[in-house]
Amino acid sequence: MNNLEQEITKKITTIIDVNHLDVLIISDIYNIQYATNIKIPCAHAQSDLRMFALLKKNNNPIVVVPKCWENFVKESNHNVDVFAYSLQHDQLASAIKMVFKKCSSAKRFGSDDELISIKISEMIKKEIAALGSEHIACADDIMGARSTKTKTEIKHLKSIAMKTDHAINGYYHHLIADRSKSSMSISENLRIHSLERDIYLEGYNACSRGVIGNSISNIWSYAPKFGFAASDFTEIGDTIIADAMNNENGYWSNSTRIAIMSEEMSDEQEIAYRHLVELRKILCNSLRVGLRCCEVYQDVVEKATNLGIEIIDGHALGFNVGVSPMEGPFLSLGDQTILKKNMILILDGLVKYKSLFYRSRDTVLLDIDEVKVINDYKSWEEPYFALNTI
Amino acid sequence: MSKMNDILLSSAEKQTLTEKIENKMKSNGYDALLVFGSSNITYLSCGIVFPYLDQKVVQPVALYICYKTGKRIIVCTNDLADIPKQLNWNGEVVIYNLNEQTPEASIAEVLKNYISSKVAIDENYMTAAQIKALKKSISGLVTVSGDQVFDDLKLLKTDAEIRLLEIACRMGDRGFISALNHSEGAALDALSYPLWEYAERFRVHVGEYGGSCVGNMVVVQGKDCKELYARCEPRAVLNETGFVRLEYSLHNSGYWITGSRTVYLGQTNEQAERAWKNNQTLKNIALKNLRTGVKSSEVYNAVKRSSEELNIPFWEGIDLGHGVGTREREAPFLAPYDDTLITEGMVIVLGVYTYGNDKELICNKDVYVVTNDEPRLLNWYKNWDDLYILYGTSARHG
Repeated sequence: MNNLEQEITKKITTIIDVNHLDVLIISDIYNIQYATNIKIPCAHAQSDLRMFALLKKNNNPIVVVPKCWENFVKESNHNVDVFAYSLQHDQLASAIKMVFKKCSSAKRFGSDDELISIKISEMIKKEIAALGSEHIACADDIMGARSTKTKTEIKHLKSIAMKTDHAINGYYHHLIADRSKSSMSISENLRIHSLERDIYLEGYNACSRGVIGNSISNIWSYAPKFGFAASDFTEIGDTIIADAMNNENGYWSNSTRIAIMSEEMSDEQEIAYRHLVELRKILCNSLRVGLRCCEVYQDVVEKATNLGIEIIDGHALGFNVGVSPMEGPFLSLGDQTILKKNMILILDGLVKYKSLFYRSRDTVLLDIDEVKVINDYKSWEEPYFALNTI
Repeated sequence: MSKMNDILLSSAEKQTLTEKIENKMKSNGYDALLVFGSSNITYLSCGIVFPYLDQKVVQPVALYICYKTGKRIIVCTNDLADIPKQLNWNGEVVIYNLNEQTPEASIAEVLKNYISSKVAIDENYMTAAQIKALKKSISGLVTVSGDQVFDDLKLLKTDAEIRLLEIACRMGDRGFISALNHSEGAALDALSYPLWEYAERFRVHVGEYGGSCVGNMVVVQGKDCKELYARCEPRAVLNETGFVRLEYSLHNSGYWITGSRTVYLGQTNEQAERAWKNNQTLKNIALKNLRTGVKSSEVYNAVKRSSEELNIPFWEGIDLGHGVGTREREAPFLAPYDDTLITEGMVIVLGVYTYGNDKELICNKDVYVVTNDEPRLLNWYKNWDDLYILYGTSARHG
């Protein structure tokens, strides 16, 4: 086992011990990746094909997959025992049957079935009941484990966060204010500059996007082409908001940065960007290990309001990142989760100024007495400024 | 405007689909529906697409429609609230704030103001945590599974849905041809061409030709081509003479297709050409059996029988095809486990994985709409009957 697998195995073992489990059945795709290091990028979209992991103390994980994914999974991790169900019978029923065949003697079953569909959750509970065994809900335990990062996870998350900031800058350096760019071209180039830095090839949500000019009046402009954007062209002085979500070693970055198509900002842009910088400072000053997410949220909202910063009502000011690009806890009014050392959070700086939305997302690592920004390839005290011309 | 550039459902087309859905729901005794699945939201709202719901990059979204009161509501967080408007949604948008411990509890607290009667839900998508939160917030909530009705509705496409899927096919083929055009100058060239760039060129061009998003993207060459998927190493380049396969999915305004295209890198040979011909032979047998009234499983079984008779082995690890629509894999599945009758109006992606000389998996998928006559090809943009040869050197002309 490599370092990451050892670290995560230790955490999973703790969950098994604390709950006195004979077996832990994991059904959520992200949890499976977390626990076994096995990732099928299309699994979220091809949900008729189901994968399950069974974890027992001091045993290799067992992974149950459809036949078509069998070899890929075997190649992904040689320390798991892979069992594939064939095309002969109903796929979900076959998968569930195989799962319970592998753990039929267990008396206490842990499960993260709260995170998956009602249908599958009920099937799992029914099988456990049929065995006369006990069902222990473990979704919160696993999400809790995921929320604080291990040493290797921190290394991976730091790497991908910085690479993504580097990639955004790498693209931004091509910007020349008097040479118009389409939002589509920005979107494509953000992705290409990411891939040039050895990030992993991903489809789906790994589409980057650039939103420009007055189109930033919508947070998700260009529907339904969110990833590609449309043929919207920059003019001199425009704001560009670039989003990039990248994956490396199974861990995600989730970043947003602003460029200005000029060597200086307009008065409006100055104010809006200053609000973003102030919001970041307030957030970093408010985040403390031991506080609840909702306390941080309330504190930040109050301070931002006092400074005349318009933030979005009810919008979470941050969230966790890891094997998925967005996960709890959330810096929101309702989330009571206590912040802990080694959480890695995306600070979702989003402000409204004169009907436009400005966004900059920082990635921070929480330590006992420090909040460290880990995606600062450059200082974001100011946005990226394009040269006026060359 | 060319009909192939008309990438959204028109008002009239939405109306037709809306009526189809409403009639089906009412005939099954359902007065209201509440769904959380991305595919169901797009389908039942007739074209509203949210970004990356399946990957959970945004907070949950719910669609509630009550046929008794005429209420049509999308419930989402503030950041997503402008999307329905951009896509001409004619119902209400209700924003929920993250005021509760979880997003599931937060959205449930808002939904309780609207849901009063029995409601059909998508148990195949809605999470157990979500239904728990809904039951806690809405006293006396009565739910029934609407999955079968939703799936039955999606099986047969309207003309407009077929149109959107046909456009998606063209986007995919144009994207793939562009990837070939960009790489064939440099394939096997000393300067090399990254594997990721081959896939990325596909994605970029799908976007340029109007596509909404690319999903699955896997490119395999050499020994990796023996597997359905393999990890694309960041520094890997096109450098192994032999088969190269791209697996992909993409959508046009919420309507997804999947694809698989295999080409040959370098000068081909007799064995490769024969392997390709064998692939086409089995695919054509599948196509010949794709007829109304035939069971989906029988299409698979017919190929299996022919495979044995003709001594052309095929990979039996995956179905030979499946429906496409607001999800990239839908019923029917051309596999032993599915006895759904093939019916006019189904849109099915079809492809057989056969073997190259070194056991590489070769596949060439196309999308068809089932008619009462022969299936109509929707991937008509380029004929792929002959093995495509990828080779050349580049003058680096851009």
